[in-house]
Amino acid sequence: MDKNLPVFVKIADYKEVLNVVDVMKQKLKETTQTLDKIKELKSEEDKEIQEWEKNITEISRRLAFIDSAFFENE
Amino acid sequence: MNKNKITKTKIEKTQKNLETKVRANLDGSVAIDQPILKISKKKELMLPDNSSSSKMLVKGNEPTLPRLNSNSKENMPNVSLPKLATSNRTKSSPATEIGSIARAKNRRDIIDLPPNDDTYFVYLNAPLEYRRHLLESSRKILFCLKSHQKIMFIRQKKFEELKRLRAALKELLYLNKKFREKLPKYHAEFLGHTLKGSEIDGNISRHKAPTMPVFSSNATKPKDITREKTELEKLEDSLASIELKLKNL
Repeated sequence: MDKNLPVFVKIADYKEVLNVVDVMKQKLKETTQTLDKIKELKSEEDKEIQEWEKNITEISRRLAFIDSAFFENE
Repeated sequence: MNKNKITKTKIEKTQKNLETKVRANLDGSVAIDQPILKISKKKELMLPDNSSSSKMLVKGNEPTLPRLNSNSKENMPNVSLPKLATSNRTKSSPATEIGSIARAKNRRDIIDLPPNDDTYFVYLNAPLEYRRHLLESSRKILFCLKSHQKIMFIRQKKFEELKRLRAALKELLYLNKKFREKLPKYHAEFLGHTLKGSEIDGNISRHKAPTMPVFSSNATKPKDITREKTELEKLEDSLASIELKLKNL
């Protein structure tokens, strides 16, 4: 028996299927957008953490300077 | 007024003490290794510029020196003695006269508050620089706190987005099932697929669709975000004040 025989779908069901596909497309689009947003947020977070690290390095540098100035005679 | 009086008496007392020390040094009775101490505006003991070290730890409690009688004072050579200068200088007070000598020698504004007993002071060469460094550090710390708040806010937003993504994926799964349901049922052997009994029997429709919350673009933000924003604003305010101070430096 030929396995590539055509399948017949009822018109009413077909319309519904089309609607479902449309909704699925929309949902997929939304998902892609959400993913992009998450990526963006992640990069933003990474940037903030980098900034944080930079600031902490700067603080430690300044503190070392002050510390050396105050206690070098000890 | 009383405070001024007390300060004046203290000044005179300290000046006398210093004068005695210097005279004793000249006399050779007492050896003073260190140069005469001056007292800065902030009750700091400062060394004169010719001092070799840039800063020095000085104890507030001065060493006791032998008292000189009035006769010995007359025998002393006539030398100009550097004395403590006063901030409230008056023409009549002797402190002012001697203070002017010290001022001429060292062009710094010097005030004359005696140090408290058992108190140590450190002389700093460029206090403005240290102050700048401290302020910059405070600024950076505030930046860090601001970053922390921002990160928390971002994470909250990210969590919400992840929840939305999860919901969307669940909806997609449901729609996919529905889509399959709408397609005509076929015999497994006919297309060479092995399907589950439930699918063949058309039991797909019996599966209940999960109730998904529908997210709209104008969804209300949670209350916590507003609270964090105020925290962020507070940090920004303090940051602005520090930056203003830095500008004024």
